[in-house]
Amino acid sequence: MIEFEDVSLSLGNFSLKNCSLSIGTGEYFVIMGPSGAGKTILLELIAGLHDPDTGVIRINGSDAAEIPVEKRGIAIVYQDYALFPHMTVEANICYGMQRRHIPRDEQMRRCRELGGSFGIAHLLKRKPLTLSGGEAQRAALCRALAVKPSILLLDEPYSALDNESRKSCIADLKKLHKEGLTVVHVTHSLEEAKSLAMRVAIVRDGRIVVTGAAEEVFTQPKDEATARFLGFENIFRGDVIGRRGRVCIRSEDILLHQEESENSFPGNVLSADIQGALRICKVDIGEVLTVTLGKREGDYLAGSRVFVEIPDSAVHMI
Amino acid sequence: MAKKLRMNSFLFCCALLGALPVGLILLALLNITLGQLSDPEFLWLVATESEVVGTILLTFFAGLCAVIILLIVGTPLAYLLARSATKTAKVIGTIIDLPVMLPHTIAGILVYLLFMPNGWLGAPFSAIGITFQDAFFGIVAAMLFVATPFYVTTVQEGFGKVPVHLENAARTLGASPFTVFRTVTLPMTLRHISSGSVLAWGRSISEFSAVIMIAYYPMVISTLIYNRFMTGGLKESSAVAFTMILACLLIFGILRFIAGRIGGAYDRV
Repeated sequence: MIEFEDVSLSLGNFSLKNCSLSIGTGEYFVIMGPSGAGKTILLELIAGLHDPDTGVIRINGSDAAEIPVEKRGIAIVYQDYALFPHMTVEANICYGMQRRHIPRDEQMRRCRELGGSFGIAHLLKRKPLTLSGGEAQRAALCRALAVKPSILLLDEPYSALDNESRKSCIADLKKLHKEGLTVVHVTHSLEEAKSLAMRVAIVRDGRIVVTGAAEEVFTQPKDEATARFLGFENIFRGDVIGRRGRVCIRSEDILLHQEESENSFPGNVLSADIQGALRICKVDIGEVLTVTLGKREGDYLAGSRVFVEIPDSAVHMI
Repeated sequence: MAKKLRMNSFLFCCALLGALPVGLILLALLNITLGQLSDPEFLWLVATESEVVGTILLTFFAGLCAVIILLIVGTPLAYLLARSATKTAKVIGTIIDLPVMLPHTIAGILVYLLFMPNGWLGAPFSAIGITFQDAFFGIVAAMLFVATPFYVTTVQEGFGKVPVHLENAARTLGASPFTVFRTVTLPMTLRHISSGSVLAWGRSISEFSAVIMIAYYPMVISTLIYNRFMTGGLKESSAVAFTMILACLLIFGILRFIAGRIGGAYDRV
């Protein structure tokens, strides 16, 4: 269990302000936020690499300030993996075990076992600089897991990976989490967060703006900035069933029709851009809406008249 | 494998301009070499003179002592300066660089004032029987003073290139700050440490002004060449100088070769 109580920290021009959160044992917790929001600092605070200026951090009920970094049983995997370039993959994986004075035979056994289960057994004698992104990511994960940490911290570990490697690494992590490991994962990828998170915190400008169950945070944003960050492109002032506020609608939840139907609004397509497999349309219905369609979902061109359907479930009020 | 350079007009201009300093050094070496080789018997006589051999060895040894002291005290300082972004660190960095800016006679005066028998440091050391004036320790003190910036700046740059998060990762894996330094930071900085040591050693053995202020005797090689120039003339001093050039070429050639191999696999981050 990790608890932050009103934690603040200033580092140069950046400051983390009054952060409170709690991460349960065995939870998969995702910290999201734009670049420079303070996500990595939050991770490093958990690891003990910074001391808070004010506030308290507790790990399993004990004041973390009393526990030195090397005794916390927390391992971290950085965005660029932070493998030691002067050591082989094997020496990297054994590094933490060596510090714990685990006998050499046991170190090698665990190293081979981890290397085998993460598919890098054939790379153990290689230097990190000769590995691909996916291989290095796995080596870093093996190094972190070799010390059997109680908490695993991941700092955007997939940002440099291709799609295939990312999918397979996400599967690895899901497996580890099922085995009972507490994981705190920093990312700015919504896709990653959705596929892994049990609970989520969103950080912006050094503050934790939202924490909650993943499903709740992703579907019910609490403010406009959070809604934008979570991919709600359509946000405007509105009045829905007597409730005034901001209406948020994801662009992919809006439907376009060529024929008028019940509860549809007539509008004009202002632009229709093809982006990869998607068609992004701007439709004027009095407010300009962004609508994301599959490329093959109707041949809507700029200037054509359409009818816009917004399902009830797509509308979120803030 | 050495990469072959493809020549273009810009590189040709660089080569043309760069030929000037290289040519100057080569010309000077050629000049002295031809002069000395015209009378090899005299050269051999001077080169094997016990005073010349002894002085060269003393100079190299005093320089080596300065480098060893720098390895012990300069390395932690360089690490501290590389990891600290405070104003104090910047001020300390400027203080460390000061001996490079100062004329060496001034460095000599500073060292002498501090280490003379009734100086702030000279007096307490005298009390325990260590003297600096006209003594070996005086030479080492002067060499240390002028060589420090060369060592500290080079090694600080090396430490600066080791990403802090590598050290952080090592800490979370269970290493104490000293173990992290010993197993991660230091091995990745070996090349900078070795080239800083070579630079500092070279700077130490070439020192003249700062050394003669505190210790004219025992003579270091620069002092001996100056002394021979004043007493025995150009021919005698050139022979000593040529002997020292040969010794330097041999030693620093070997050191450059070794330094090029040290840490090659380590500092690629």
